[in-house]
Amino acid sequence: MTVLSKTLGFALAVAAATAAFAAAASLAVGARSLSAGNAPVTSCGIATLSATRTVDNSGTVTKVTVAGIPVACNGETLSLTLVDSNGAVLASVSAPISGTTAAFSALGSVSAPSLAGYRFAVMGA
Amino acid sequence: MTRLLVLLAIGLSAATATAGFAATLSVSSWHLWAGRQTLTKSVTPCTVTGAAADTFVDQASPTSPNSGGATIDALADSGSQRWAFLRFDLSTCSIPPTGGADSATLRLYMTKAPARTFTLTLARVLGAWSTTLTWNGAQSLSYAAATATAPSGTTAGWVTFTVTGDVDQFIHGLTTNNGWAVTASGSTQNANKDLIQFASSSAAANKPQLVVDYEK
Repeated sequence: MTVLSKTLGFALAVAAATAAFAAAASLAVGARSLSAGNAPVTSCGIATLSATRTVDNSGTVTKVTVAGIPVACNGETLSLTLVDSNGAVLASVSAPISGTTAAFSALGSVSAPSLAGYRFAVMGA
Repeated sequence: MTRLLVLLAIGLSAATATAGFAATLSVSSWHLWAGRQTLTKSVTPCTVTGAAADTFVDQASPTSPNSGGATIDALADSGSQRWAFLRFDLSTCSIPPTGGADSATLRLYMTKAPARTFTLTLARVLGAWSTTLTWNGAQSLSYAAATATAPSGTTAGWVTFTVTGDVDQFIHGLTTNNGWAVTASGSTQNANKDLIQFASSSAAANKPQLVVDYEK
């Protein structure tokens, strides 16, 4: 009986300790914990990005180069969307960032006259 | 019984611990930055009338320059070929290097048409030249692959070449603007019948034009 009591006591202690740890961990992912915003989320320091494009002789965009990427963004993902004057998507590409510029050349057949703007998104951890 | 309780305890611990780590993994700190850039297009095209430099070279007079006349010539006949050269100054359009050409057209007014249609070929010149260029000098220049071709037709009038890609490269500074050479090819008869002449920048009217739609 003594052995049984000791064993049971040990088991309950371990279970209680683990349960407490688990409960604490569970609290960290609860909706209220996330909304508290205790974990700081920082960007890689982008102020603005700008793009230039080249065209072939038929006026089709052959390459878009995005400039102004901070070095701190290396390894993150840059998404580039080409839009027309109505905001309709003409092409959309993305790639990991390596360097302070990023060049995209697989853009389909976007005509330069129809290109009215760029949308950028940089996502990272 | 003792073994049962020990196993129960370990199982409970493992189960809760697993749940705890799984929950921790779902917590991350991804961030997203988003921005946009709106392009400004030319309201009206920039038209450059008159080349900054134009001339032609003549195989029959290989050491003589031919600039300053009212025409620049193209001739396909072997032994007496003529090639026309033009270079435009794009600075009057004030297009920043961050902009680019949406479309660009080179227009030449043919004042003398050939008796038969010839193919006119426009190629970017890869080296510097001046209006004192001669046939011999033109042989030492390099030329890019043909940018555009156009049929001459057999009546006087405007001949157009699409030069969007070349002008875009000039704007971006990706290649030096040394202008273009225009040559003729086709079935020849004789120099008189085959001669093609365009109004030069020295002509009173119908000077060469470069028309550029662009983004700033």
